[in-house]
Amino acid sequence: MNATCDRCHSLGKNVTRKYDFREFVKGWPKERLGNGVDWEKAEEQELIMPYDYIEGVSIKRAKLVVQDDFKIVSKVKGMPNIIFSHEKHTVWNGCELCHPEIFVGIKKGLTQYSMVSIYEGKFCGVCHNNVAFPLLDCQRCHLQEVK
Amino acid sequence: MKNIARLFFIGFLLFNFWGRGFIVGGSLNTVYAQEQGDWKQEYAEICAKTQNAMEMSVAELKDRIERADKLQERINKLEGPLAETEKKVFTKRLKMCRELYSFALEYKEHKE
Repeated sequence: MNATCDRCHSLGKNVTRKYDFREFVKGWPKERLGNGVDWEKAEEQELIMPYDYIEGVSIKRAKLVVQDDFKIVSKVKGMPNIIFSHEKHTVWNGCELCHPEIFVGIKKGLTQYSMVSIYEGKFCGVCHNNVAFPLLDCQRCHLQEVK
Repeated sequence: MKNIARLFFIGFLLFNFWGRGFIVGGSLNTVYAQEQGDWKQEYAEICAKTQNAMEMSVAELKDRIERADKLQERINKLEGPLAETEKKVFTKRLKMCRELYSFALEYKEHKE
């Protein structure tokens, strides 16, 4: 892979764009927030294929045997439950990114948290709002249908 | 004849003060480069198995923690143009791996 770090890490640099972003993503799956693209769907549809290895930065590791998606029951009545996917969260990351610093333990339910603490930048809020989709995009986590 | 002797003498001096410098300097650079690259290899070996932490034996976990501590000492001594960034990034990443192994070790020792 050629190092093209400047294309994103461009703060203070005069980087010439190769293409117009809006034109490039025209017709791609839409999302309400962020830059208007649903990147997860774009990846599913193979419109993008992000690198999952950078020489000198990433670690070559055996593929993780992922657990099945599981449900995190919402505390508010009528609010759809969260379906958490280990698979999606470990495409780029090792277990150590979240355990044990952010989510202690290996037993479900051992770490107690709420939306308030998440909005304070703890737990899911460590990444969501910063490098992952924003917390205001409720239905992307709270996606189990309410019966 | 004197001139030839002088030339040899000057050549000898040049080799001692300049040529050797190159050779020694060159080997030092190679050692430096190896040390620089080889700590990343060690980092990858330590952290590439975090997904198996819960299946590791107590001895394996202790070994990884010990290796992580030794590597941290090496990271602290890094030098070069990217040293500060690398120190910051890899200290954090190594700490995360170490904590996971440490957590798994604690869990196993409590259980056993």
